[in-house]
Amino acid sequence: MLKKIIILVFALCTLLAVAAFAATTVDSSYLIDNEQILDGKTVEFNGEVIGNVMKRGKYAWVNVSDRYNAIGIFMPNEMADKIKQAGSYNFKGDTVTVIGVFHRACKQHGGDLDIHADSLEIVAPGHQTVHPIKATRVILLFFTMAAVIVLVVLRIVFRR
Amino acid sequence: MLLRPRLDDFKVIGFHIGRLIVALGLVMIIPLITGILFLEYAMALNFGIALFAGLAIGLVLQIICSTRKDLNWMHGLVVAATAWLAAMFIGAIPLYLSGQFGSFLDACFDSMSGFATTGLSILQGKDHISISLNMWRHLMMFLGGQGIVVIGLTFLIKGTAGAYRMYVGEAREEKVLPNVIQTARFIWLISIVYLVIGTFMLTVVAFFEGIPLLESFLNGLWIFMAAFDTGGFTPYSQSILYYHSFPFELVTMALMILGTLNFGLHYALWDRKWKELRTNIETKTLLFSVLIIFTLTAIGLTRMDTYPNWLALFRKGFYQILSAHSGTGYMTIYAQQFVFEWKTIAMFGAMLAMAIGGSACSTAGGIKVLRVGIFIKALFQDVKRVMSPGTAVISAKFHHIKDIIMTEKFVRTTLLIILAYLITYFLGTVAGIIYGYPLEQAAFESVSAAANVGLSCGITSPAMPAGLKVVFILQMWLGRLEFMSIFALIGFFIATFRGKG
Repeated sequence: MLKKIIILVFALCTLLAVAAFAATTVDSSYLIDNEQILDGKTVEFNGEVIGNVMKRGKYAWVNVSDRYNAIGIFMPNEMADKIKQAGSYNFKGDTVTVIGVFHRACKQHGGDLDIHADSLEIVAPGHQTVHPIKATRVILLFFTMAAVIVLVVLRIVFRR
Repeated sequence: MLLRPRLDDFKVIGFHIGRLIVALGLVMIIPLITGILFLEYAMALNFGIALFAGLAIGLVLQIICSTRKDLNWMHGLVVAATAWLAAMFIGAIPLYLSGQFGSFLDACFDSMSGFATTGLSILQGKDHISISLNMWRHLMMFLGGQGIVVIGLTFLIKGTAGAYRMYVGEAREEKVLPNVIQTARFIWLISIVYLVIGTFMLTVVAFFEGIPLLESFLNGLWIFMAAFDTGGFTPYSQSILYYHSFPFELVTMALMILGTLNFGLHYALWDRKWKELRTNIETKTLLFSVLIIFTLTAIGLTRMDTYPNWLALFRKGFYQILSAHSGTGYMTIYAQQFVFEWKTIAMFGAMLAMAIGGSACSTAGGIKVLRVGIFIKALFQDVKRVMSPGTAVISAKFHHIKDIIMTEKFVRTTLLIILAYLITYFLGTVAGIIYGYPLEQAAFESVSAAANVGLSCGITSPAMPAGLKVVFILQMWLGRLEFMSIFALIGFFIATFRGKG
């Protein structure tokens, strides 16, 4: 019986410890609005990689956007290498889950609000996006172009 | 007594607005070509539509209002004020067609913000916009910084006395060179030379910070255009924070300082008159103002323990203050951090810097350091007068390119414009409060819009009430043109309906 109680207490303590140190899942607005509380804590942040993976020495900067804001993530190059596609006009970037330590005003990086990543997981790979040409726009282009030609002719006639 | 304008007045005004619209329409060739080069055909099509629409509207005005008459003072001022509104509508066409704005009003907001070099933006999905659209957004700032009229003067309009009147209407009283066309071309010369140097420096820094060469060049070009023209648009939603780079911040700081200097001072420096830097009332006032306001802000930030060390205080505190004072609006913090991190004292510092602004005859907005310098000098002069014997004759002069004697009329004009800015800041704040925003935030955003800065504490967003968007558009317009031409436009309207004759 005593053995069972000890195991139960141990399991409970382990669970509590895990809960205490587990990453809090946050969105960028919550992160910025509660930066004093979350400063120095481990957080889990999800979003799309945008722009560029900027490698500097052994580390890289990656900006991850969750539609509200983009947050700078500082990570080792090996972790950054997992990212295959960053978001731009023609591409939806990789969707990633980052777990790392949040800094309200990072000492190492001149006061930046950032996350130093401990792990990065690709949740969904990026893909190309298409921007189809609308027929109505083509018609509108020809219409405005024709109007300009007519007006130029009219202007020449009026000048004479 | 107000005289009702005659048909000829409308024709002269319409004809010149038409010419300016044509000039602006032609500039859209640049983003159009960019779209084709980068295979963004859908966007290129949008620019094609906007280009031809601009040309058509401009030509219609020129045909209907065909005249050979030159502009008088009233015409010049009305043309300048109206041309900026027309530019806003034409510039908004490709923005709206891009599909990244909730409404045409939102597109107009960004268009006015671009031309007026403000930098507030309600564009959606900023991290996914096309290269050609980014080119247009930043080009709007570059063109607006020099001035819509300056574009027309450079390419399409003859250097008549009327041309000078339009130039003045665009809040540019100073002729750097004796001829207004030469002045317009000199403004372009300076801008192009700095464009080459600035873009090169930013490209090199961005490349060494891990951005591929072509993207480094594009980022360098865009950031230069918005920094030198104290605009504040950036290709990414995080503003300058996107780059996480101290060297990049240093280069943009240098560009913001260059952009906020008077074109007259630039000319003096090109002429190797280095002494001008020490003796000019503008540079002295700017230096003192930045130092005093940064000290105030640093006290606020240090008291709140906002930043962990001096480097952070410099990169966040000083950067934001310089950005505010120069009228640029580049940010290395998030908008919400002004409220949650900077708090009252530091936020007040940033607001004060925005309200004062940069130099006259530059691309900066706000009251302008020249006027603040004159105001302080006039204040000292009055104190001196009170303390001197009644028979004493007190006169004062200041140095701004040349020595200028401070007359009563001169001081009165300066004070009137300062007052007009303060009223505009106040009215925008009231509008913000009416829409339910807290006083501190409403005042911050109002000053930012009217002083054409672009720093935001979070109010400016696509979800902002439509009425407030209109208020900010009006503030940006008023602030950029410095009131006189807009008052002339209002007077013109009143005269049309209530004038005699």
